[in-house]
Amino acid sequence: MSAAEVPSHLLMEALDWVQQGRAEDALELVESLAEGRNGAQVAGYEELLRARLMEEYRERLPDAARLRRKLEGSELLSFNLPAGAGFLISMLDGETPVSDLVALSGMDPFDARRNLNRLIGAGIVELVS
Amino acid sequence: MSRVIGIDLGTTNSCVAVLENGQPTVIPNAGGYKTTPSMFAITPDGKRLVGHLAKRQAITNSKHTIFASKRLIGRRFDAPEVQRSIDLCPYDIVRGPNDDPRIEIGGKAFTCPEIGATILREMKRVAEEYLGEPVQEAVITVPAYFNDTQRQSTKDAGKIAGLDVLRIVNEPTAAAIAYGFNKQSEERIAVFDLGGGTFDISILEMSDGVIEVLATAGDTFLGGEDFDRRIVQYLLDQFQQQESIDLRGDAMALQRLKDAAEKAKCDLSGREQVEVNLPFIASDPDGPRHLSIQLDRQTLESLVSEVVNATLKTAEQCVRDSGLEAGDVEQVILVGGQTRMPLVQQAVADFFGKRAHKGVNPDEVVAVGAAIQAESLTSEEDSVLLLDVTPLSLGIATFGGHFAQLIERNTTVPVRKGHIFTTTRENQSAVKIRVLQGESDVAAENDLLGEFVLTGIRPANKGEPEIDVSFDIDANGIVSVSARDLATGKEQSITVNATGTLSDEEIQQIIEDQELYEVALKEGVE
Repeated sequence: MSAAEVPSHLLMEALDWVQQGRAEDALELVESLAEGRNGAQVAGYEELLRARLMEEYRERLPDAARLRRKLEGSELLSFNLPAGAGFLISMLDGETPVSDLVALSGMDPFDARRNLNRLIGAGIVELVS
Repeated sequence: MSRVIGIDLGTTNSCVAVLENGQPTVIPNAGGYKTTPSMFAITPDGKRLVGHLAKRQAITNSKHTIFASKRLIGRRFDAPEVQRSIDLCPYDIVRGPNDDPRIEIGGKAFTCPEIGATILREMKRVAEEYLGEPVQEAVITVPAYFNDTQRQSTKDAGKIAGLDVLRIVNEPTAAAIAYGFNKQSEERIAVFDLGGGTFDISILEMSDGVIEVLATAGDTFLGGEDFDRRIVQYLLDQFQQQESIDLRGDAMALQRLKDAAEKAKCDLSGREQVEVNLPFIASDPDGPRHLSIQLDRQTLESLVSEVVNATLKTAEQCVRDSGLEAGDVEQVILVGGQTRMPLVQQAVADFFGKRAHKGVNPDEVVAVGAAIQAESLTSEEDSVLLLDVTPLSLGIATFGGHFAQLIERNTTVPVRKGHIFTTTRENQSAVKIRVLQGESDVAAENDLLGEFVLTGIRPANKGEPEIDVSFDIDANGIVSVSARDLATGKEQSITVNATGTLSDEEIQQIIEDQELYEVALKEGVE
């Protein structure tokens, strides 16, 4: 096996995870496989997973949904968040719809929605009912 | 009859007001704010944003977010202000077919009146939502130093926005109207207007409902943004010292810093110290980095003292132009959010030897004045009489490339003035009249407002024919020029439509394009 080749059993595993409803984990696996490689196969898997996850994110977090911070101060600071997530948190006002937040962030729409979903999952952000 | 609104179309923020039951009301937008950022943006997915939404993404989408387009309106592409904007602005400014500056965003080149119209349309919409009825007529304010082309372009913007612009009023005059509303005082007042992106100062005289601008001066590249920029710079330096991370290339961090700097600046007008907290501003292999910096009023004042001193130099010039002493000014009106800063208020008080009038809201006073003027133009009662001045000298180019002034700067308008000129060649049958605006004796150094040719001059020796050239400036500051051969009675005249303004066909085309966009938007939504 050359250094740039992707182990096929790992790709199979990623597919299994998708079947089990673990598309997020599958994407992370494929992203880690893609590092340092230019394989069209990996890129294809990655694109497929991103499209699938985008649909999931949209279902979980519709365009019209509104978000607000659930945690503040030291509770918030205890998390190990990337700067992109910090930026999105700074934009939450409980009024701006998710579609506008994504557009306003200037981030890649997939990355913005992924961050928002993760922030909800971590209990940092919540939907305004 | 539909209501008439007053709009302060600002460089940084805009505001709309209306008279209700004889009292001025400033109309809040859907977000509850009484001012709306004069910003327009197109997102990567083609969405058009105006106002606060455009501002929130201004740094992360800087190439496609237009701000301060008022600095460009009615100017030629080669004008120094346009060239300076090209250096300063992240969006692309290109030369238009009329030699005017156009702004390219989202794959389209927008004219400056078109951008102005986007903001005006938003203000019209805000007013219509509040009033619950369509609005068709407006009074719009412009800086007192705006020349004829800039005023005409602003009127064009109103037309594109679907507004009949009843009057273009100078901003300081509008502020004075608001100050003098229901007062019968005789006073000399100074209007010190430090907005987000520009600074203007005017000296006015008020008596028995007559308001006369005695002098005006300003700087189109000095305002609250200069204060913000210095604070952001300070925060960047402090953070770099603390964390060894330079955030200058990070658009998301800069967006947060800009917002935080503006907020800290406002808070420090009422408090001695604030803490700027921006969690997760950056991250590195060791984990997230948070920005937490104390900023006190003294530090802020030392950061911006140079900018404040620059405003006072301009104020000195204006007072000199008015023929008065600073101490002759009886009342000082502060306009623009930046005048809330204690350092600015103190500097103004020291300069004029008196504290500024406290009875007006600096963010709203210009729109309120415009609304009062709008009402008086449409009501049957006696209207406030405005006597504005022309901010720049007007004249024509003469032999040898000289500039012959017919109307001096700071002459009260409306005004009509004429002068007899003659030919420079034997049997000259035609003369070209080049109408200029500016202060230089050299014709080429002034702004060309327009040109026309007077033909049919009777054959004669040079210097014999008498050609009467007359200038008319109406209450909006719009210029008309006529030239008449006194021997033959032949006459040519123009309402100056300078190079750079839009033709009626172009305006119509822009209106149609906008309607198409709105239809497409509606179909996309439904």
